Amino acid sequence: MIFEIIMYGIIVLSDFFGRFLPGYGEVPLKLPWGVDDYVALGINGYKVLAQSFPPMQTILNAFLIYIGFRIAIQLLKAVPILGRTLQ
Amino acid sequence: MQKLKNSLIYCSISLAVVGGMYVGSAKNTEAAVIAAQIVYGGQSNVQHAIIGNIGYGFAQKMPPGISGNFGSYTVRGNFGLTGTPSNEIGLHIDECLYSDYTSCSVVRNYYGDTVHTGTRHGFYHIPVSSTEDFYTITIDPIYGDQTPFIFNASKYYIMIVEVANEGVYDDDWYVNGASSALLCSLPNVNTFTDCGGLGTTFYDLEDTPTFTPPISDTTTHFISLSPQNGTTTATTSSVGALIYANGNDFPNYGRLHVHFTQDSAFACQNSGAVYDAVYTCAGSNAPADPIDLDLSTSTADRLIAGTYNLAENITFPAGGNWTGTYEIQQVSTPWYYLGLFNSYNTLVATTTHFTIGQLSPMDMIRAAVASSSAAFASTTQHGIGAILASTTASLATACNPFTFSSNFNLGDCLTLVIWPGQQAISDDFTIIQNTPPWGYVFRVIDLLSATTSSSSMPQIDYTFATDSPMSVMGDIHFDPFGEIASAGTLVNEMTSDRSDHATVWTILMPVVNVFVYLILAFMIIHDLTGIHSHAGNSKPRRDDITAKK
Repeated sequence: MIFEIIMYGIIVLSDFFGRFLPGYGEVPLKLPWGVDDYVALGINGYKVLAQSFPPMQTILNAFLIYIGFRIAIQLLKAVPILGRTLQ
Repeated sequence: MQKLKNSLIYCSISLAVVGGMYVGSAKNTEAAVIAAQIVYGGQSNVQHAIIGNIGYGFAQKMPPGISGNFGSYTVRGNFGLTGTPSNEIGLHIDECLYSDYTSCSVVRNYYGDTVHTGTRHGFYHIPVSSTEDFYTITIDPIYGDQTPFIFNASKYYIMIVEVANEGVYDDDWYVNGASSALLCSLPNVNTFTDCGGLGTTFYDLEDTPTFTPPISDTTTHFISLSPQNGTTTATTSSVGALIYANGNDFPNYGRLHVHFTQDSAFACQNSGAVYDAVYTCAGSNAPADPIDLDLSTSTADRLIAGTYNLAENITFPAGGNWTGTYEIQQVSTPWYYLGLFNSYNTLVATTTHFTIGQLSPMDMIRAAVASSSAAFASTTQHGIGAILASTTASLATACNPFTFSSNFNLGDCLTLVIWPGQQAISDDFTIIQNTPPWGYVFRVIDLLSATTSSSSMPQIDYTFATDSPMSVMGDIHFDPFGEIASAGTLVNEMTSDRSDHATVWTILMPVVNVFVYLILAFMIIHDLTGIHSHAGNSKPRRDDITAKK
């Protein structure tokens, strides 16, 4: 019940704020201001590199893992008690 | 600030002892049956037709698929055992209704000619001093008032060769009973060699019969299992197996049977719900008793190979996931008839996993939750499963008292307070995925998860002019990145001389991976532990000195 209420709340808030954001109502939704195309190009470039030079796939994967790790650490630091412990 | 120190973790490696599997040879019992063959057109490919002594002759089960006229048959054996004036061989054909060769009736007899001399039509007159040899008996198509016998390809036939003593019975073939009068009247099937040494029987089918052996695997094996693997069956189900039994696998003293054991350990380990797992492991779903499905207890059928369908209805003590183990076993002992000192030799074994539906109270509750067709649901009243499966019932609508017309449902509302509406949550999640601002995040994830690239790296293409001497060589096309990548022919042609013929990337990539991921691991450790360039310097750091002050 609680989970469904939370979901319902998220939908209501998203619907409220989403109406003021670009791309509302688009199916499928795309990132606004041409960002969608740029991201797609970037991802495509990554895929091309990975498929054209096998070590590049490992390097890019390791890079993504590292970026994910840094983001996760920053998020964990934002948790009051856990962040202090990490520091 | 507390410094974290690097520490080495020593990993102990435990050695696993790999035990070898002892493969025992199958018990070599002296078979009391021998394979027979149909001979026609130079072919002899009915390997699963087996003859056996049925008391008054030798029977051979013929598989379906035989068509055409029956013109002659050949018997191989030594029939001059008793020294009586002569022996004779006759034949009669049984037609069976079922594939297990039951409900058979005689459809044609080729014996019983009362003429003592002269032309023999339906049987063969064997010289007294004959040795083991082939004797071909041609069936006279106009014998008596009979018409030529024509096989029906869809029928199952048993062909029985009988041997009688002409001197005693004066050509009258004695078929049933009075076994002492028959040379092959041996109830003990293991002593068939006493029966004049009758060997392999060949049935020669003439007039270009067509025949397709329906069974190519003549080893003893499972054809199908019941319940079938991965299926859900009722609480009371037929448990058994359709097997093919090779005649050579029948023990001399004993029987062949299918041993079926079952347990619900699988359910105990893999049950989705905790309470059901506890309920199962507590012993309520204790394994049922093993089931032994004997192939046959009759003396005659024990020794005849063929397809047997063995099944028995049992009631499982509990629902859930079950594992069944099927074994075809030779049960042999001189004390077989007393059931003592049996030895079991497993010939074939296989397992199957199946689900028994809805018996325990917990299973009934789970089923009611999972399916609207459960006992709790009806056409007029919402079951829990119906609510969960519904696309409209959600907490927000079912509990809204202002929508009396269609959506408000107190029962649904109270139920959804406890059981989350899976469909409604799924729909809500879809909305979130497609709506800003959260939809932006999911869109990025979608882009990242693309598996193919829409473009490729640059390639070199050059077309020579027609007046160029190089034009005869054709155009130039070179894909440098394709050659470098694993799919390139250049890379694939440079292979190792060793037996695996590994390519360059196959050899190099593990090294590259280790190198890259070692750097990654070092960077992560670096970030976590705060190792700096002055790590290892014995001088106290400035902040430590400040702290001491």
